[in-house]
Amino acid sequence: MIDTREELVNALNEAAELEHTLLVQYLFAAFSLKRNLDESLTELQQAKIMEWETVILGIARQEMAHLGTVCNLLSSIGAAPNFSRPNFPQKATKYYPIISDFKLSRFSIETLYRFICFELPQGVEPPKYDLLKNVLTTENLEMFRAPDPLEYNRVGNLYSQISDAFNKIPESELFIGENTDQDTDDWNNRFKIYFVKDKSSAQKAIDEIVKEGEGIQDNRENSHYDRFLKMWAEVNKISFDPSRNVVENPATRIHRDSDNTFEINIILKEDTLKVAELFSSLYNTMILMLIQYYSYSGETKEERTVLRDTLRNMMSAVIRPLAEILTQLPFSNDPTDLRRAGPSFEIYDQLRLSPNKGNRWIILTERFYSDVEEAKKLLAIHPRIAFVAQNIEWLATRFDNK
Amino acid sequence: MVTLIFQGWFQCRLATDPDPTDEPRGISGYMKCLPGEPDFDRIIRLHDPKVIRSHTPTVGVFITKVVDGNKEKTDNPLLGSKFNFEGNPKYFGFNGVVADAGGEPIVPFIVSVSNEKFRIQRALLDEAPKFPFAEYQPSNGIIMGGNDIAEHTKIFDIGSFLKERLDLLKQDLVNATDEIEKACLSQRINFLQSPASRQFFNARMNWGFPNSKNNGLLGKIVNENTESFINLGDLNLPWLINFWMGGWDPDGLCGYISGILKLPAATLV
Repeated sequence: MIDTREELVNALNEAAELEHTLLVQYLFAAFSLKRNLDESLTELQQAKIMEWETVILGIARQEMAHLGTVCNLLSSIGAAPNFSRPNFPQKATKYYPIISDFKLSRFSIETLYRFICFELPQGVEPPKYDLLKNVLTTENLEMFRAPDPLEYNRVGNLYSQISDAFNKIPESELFIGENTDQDTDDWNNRFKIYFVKDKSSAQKAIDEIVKEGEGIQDNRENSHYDRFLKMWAEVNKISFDPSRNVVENPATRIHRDSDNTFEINIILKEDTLKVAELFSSLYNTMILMLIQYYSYSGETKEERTVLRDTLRNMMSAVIRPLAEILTQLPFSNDPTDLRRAGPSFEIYDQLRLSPNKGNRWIILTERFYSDVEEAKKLLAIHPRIAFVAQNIEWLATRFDNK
Repeated sequence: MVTLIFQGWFQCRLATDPDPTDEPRGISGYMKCLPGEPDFDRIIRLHDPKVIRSHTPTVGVFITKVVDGNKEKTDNPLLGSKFNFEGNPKYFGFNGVVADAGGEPIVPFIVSVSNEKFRIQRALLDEAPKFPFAEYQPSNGIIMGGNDIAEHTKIFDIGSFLKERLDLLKQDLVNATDEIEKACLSQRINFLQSPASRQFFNARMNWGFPNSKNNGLLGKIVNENTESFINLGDLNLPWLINFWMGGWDPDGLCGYISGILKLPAATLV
């Protein structure tokens, strides 16, 4: 039961990690989709794939907003935002008592089925799918979180417990966070992130997350669950391979916190490895920026605007193109090996920021310029890297001149 | 001074935010390539559109008025000639890295006036554009409303204008037999029923050179076969230009441009 501030913070931390983990898996699948006619696609197949990618990226964007809202919920009760998560892959039961494992896998019937399981509404069983016996994990859930273990088997159920806790704990004691810690920006109409100041606004924020994820009992139309379910039904009928031959769980190294009993594919081709490392370095820089943006340490309004704009620009102009490039780069040195790499979304170490504002800017700027130099060395690997390198350089320059 | 008024529909096939600027087909933004269409190239085309979608405005920007001093001329070859942006120009926003939507510079910026017999042409600057492209920035951000767009395009009610197109497309769909054509028509019909099909029609972006960052068009002048009807005068004096782009019709992949180009040292022959 969640009935103390500590337990509520723990539950919200779990929700933040879940949202982060889900959105990265959705992005990976979307970026693995084929795009070009020379990838054995007809014009109509290409159009259908574009439609699926549009839907998945739309859902991932909503998950980003959910993550922002959960960080606001944390801030409202005096806790720190949480952008950490374990590296992939993870057994469903190790970190989160969810019914489907967490891994980076290309777009496929199996992958979509896992996504349906992630978004499964409370009281609803997953559709029948015989091919997936080995993916669904339904063993007894292992609980070891203190003070009270969290028990849930649906994301919606976790939020329902969080919602109950917000109602149980006295409002006057609970909401101690400074308003300045929260993100109240609309990110140029891209996200709807909720500001939380009391029980009622907390309830509204949670209701919206659940509604977008699993829908409401009598109307699941356009929820993540509904959209994945419809897509899964469509993919069940196709007779072509919609995604690139991207390896499962690509990585630049083995991480202490990933589950090594799963298939993990360390990228073998050196050029691809360099691009994958650059990608994860930039992704880590982005997480650090998010931490700075959400954990106020005296940043001015203008500085927060620079952080927000840089984050927004990085998602479109750097992270996505580089991720798409990685799904086209060879996985190994063997020219007969047709497998491709993919964005590994690795977190190399605990990402924390100094409470000193000056140090935060210096570290972020250092990281940026270091990534610019690295990107410039990789231009020959793929024609699109020049576009990405140019964007990183312009972002770094603008960031430095704030 | 010779003043040239230009206007007409231009084409720009580009992915929109939050798609990356170089996205070739359009995934997350509201602009999409239809099945069978070539990839987006972001080039602002004032003539010779790359793709023509049915029932959409005809692309072409022309000189519609020629004025010598304050006297309008109706018999000068400049009248009716093509006004163009040369060098495959693009809106240079790069997902907000350079500028947000509506505040993008046009890079490169080279204007020409020509027909099959003559050409005059000039760039804003001869030097290669450099980040953050301050000289190329528009005069202000997006301005919504105003009567200019309606008066120039003759579209006073964008809703009924697009409804007419929608009805024609629905009729086309009934008669279509080719699967790709059907898919294209269905996609367009769906899009035309969404708010995104009209949300930026009344938005106008303005450019004006000179501005606080430059003194007008100062590049080298190309002047071919114009001696019989215009004397450009002192070639070192900057040309001045003001124009707006608006009336954005995403289904038609086009918008409207209207502006004024002034050649301060020129006289008509």
